[in-house]
Amino acid sequence: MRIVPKHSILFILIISCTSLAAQTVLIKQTVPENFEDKDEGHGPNRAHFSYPYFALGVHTDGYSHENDTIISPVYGRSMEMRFGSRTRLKLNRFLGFGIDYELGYSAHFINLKDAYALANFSPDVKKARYQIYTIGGASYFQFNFEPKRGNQLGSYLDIGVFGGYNFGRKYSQTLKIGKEKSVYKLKKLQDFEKLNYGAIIRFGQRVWAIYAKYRYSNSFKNKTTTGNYELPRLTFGFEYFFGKT
Amino acid sequence: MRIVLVLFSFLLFNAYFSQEKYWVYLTDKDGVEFNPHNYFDQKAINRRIKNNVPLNHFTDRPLRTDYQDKISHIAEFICGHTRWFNAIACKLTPQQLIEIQNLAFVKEVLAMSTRTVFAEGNDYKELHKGEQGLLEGQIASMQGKEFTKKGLTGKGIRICIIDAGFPDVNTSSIYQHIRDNNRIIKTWDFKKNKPDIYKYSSHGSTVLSCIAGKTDGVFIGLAIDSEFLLARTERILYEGDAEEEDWLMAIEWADKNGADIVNSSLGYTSARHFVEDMDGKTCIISKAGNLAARKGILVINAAGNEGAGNWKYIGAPADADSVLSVGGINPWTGLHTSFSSYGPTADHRLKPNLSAFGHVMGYSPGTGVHETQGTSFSSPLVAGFAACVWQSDTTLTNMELFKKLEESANLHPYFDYAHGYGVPQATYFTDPLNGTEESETFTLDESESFIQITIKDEHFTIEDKIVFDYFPYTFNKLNRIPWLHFQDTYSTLDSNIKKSGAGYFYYHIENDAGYLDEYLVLSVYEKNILRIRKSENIGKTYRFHYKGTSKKITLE
Repeated sequence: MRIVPKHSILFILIISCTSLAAQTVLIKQTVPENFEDKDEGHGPNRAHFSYPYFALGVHTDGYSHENDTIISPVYGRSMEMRFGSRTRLKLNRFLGFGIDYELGYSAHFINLKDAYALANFSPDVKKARYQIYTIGGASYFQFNFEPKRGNQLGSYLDIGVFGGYNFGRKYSQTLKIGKEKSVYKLKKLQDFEKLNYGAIIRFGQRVWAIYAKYRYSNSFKNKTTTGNYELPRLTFGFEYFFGKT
Repeated sequence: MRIVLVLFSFLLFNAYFSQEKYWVYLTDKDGVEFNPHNYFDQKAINRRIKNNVPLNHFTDRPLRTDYQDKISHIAEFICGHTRWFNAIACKLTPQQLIEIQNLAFVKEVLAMSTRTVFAEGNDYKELHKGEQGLLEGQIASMQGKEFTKKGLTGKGIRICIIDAGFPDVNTSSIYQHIRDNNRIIKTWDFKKNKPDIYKYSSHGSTVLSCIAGKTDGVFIGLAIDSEFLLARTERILYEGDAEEEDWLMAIEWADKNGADIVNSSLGYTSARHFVEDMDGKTCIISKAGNLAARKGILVINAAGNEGAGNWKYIGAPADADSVLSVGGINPWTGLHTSFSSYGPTADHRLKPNLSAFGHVMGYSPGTGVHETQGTSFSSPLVAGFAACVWQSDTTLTNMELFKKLEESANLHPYFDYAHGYGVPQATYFTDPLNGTEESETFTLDESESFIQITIKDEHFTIEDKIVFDYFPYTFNKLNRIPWLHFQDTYSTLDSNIKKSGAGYFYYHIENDAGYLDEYLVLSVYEKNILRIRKSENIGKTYRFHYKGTSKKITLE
């Protein structure tokens, strides 16, 4: 007899606390007190904004600030891909500051017509490439062209620097001697620089951006033993941003 | 050399993208001659007389030509001008901007340019069985046949539609009755500055069909005998950026040409503005909407389709207090449809004011009469309804009509920020005594600690369960463009159209500042629908609505 009242009280308590539980709430909306705080300062044109991105670029030969020989890339195959997250702080209507964190993969296919001329390339080499895996980032200043836009990225120009650690450094080449084909692979290349850094410029409009990167750091540690050649320093590409920008 | 080239490219880049559009506001209209009888259509003059609006008002006078000439000599490109705001729209480089700012007769220069969000959803390209039910339902939800029985078809009411193009309006049989009686009074393309608007986007054609279209004798919209002014102000495919100045010029044009009602199924949101700008006082077209209302025009605007998006709330000019904003109802649930933008305004005024079906049958070139969705089409349904009401009582001023439309809605005096006052009902106008003696559907019992709301036995019904996110056809899942995927999209093969508000229990909580903190809609599964603890809600006002009965209580 003593158990029954105890359970009854519990039951009544549950029922009284969940007076809506027997109904299905079809619509329930709460109204913000202040609409300026609706997104708590986060958004494409608010003080804070973060969004993921994907970048695809092509390496190209050209200018080098050092007296080295840029090996021509194989256009269309010498590319880089990057996935990352971008966080931007809006300093004022015109100026922002951003930081990227990213994982990158870069493939440098060597244009063998040029490379045969170099001492360490045999005419038997039919295909050669460097593959670099990077973890890194970038920081930049953002200049906004449309400061009076709404909550969207709009058009902007980013100028900044990038840097990264090359945690994967591979070289592979395919040799063909007579009819025999062989593949030669090297991992964790010791003469390859572990760090890379340089400058980046990017023009963006809403979900798209085009960018140009110049790698200031060298690819190889000791150029005298590697024939003073250098992988392409310039990269051009585009970025795509996911989410509401 | 390379550095110089890079710098030069950067400067060029910067110069190109720094060319913006501006409103150049002028100081005065001194010495300008203006004869309203030469400028206005007779209907516009009559409207002014009826609404006690001065015929020769400062806002209607033209701009000073000498000021216009001087601006046009400096500016890169003149896009247009507005009499109402005494301003010129133009494209300026930074240098030209400085030059213009220094002119003595320039009061202010404000940057603009924006992107339009069409209040349109996607449409089904194939016709399904059940579409006829939807077609009849969009009229029946407003008791539209009551108007037809009384011969109220919007006759004598001039409606201006501001939209993106009107292909087929000059050829399709859907609009034959309008053409036969020469009831397309004027047309103007504000993009091309010419009268041909019968091409480009079909959005306007669908909107017109929802106001006045007729297919095989069945009404698509209610105002089949109204007169029309058709203005094209937007491009859909050519540019993402649209111009608010064209909307502004179009509504001035509508005023000049005697429009009684303006329907605009456009909205301006995130491309230019923040949600906190939606206070009816910030965006120029919201101010223009209010000014048009002051000149006696009933301005009706779609609430927008941002309800399920990041923006969520209404856009401009739906935020203007004198603009009648119309949200969307899902015909198969009778409730707010997920994409319809929510209110309130940023300063907590009620929006949307009314609702109508957000999934409708409308006409588009190529697809004929087909199902489409968006609050773009809720707004014209109400515009057609308003034209019929105005025809029934031409002595009403625009704001009296505005108020009466709200009063006629099925939830009134209850409201919330998803439905407004609900869907307008024709019997309020055609049979005002009908329903006044209806018995209460629920009781509100107050004890010392609680308020208990109980549904009366004779009104207690259990509605069918609503299944959200239900797609009956595989093709819908596969072919639907992801960003057009609305959570509660249904196919017309679904069951019957539901009467808005039927069987659901609505309640809201209003704070002492006078706006709602929260609002809910419940399905009813038991008679004791709600119990509120008084001690936790002191100072708050509760309003409840169930099957035609609304009650209010303030807890003290």
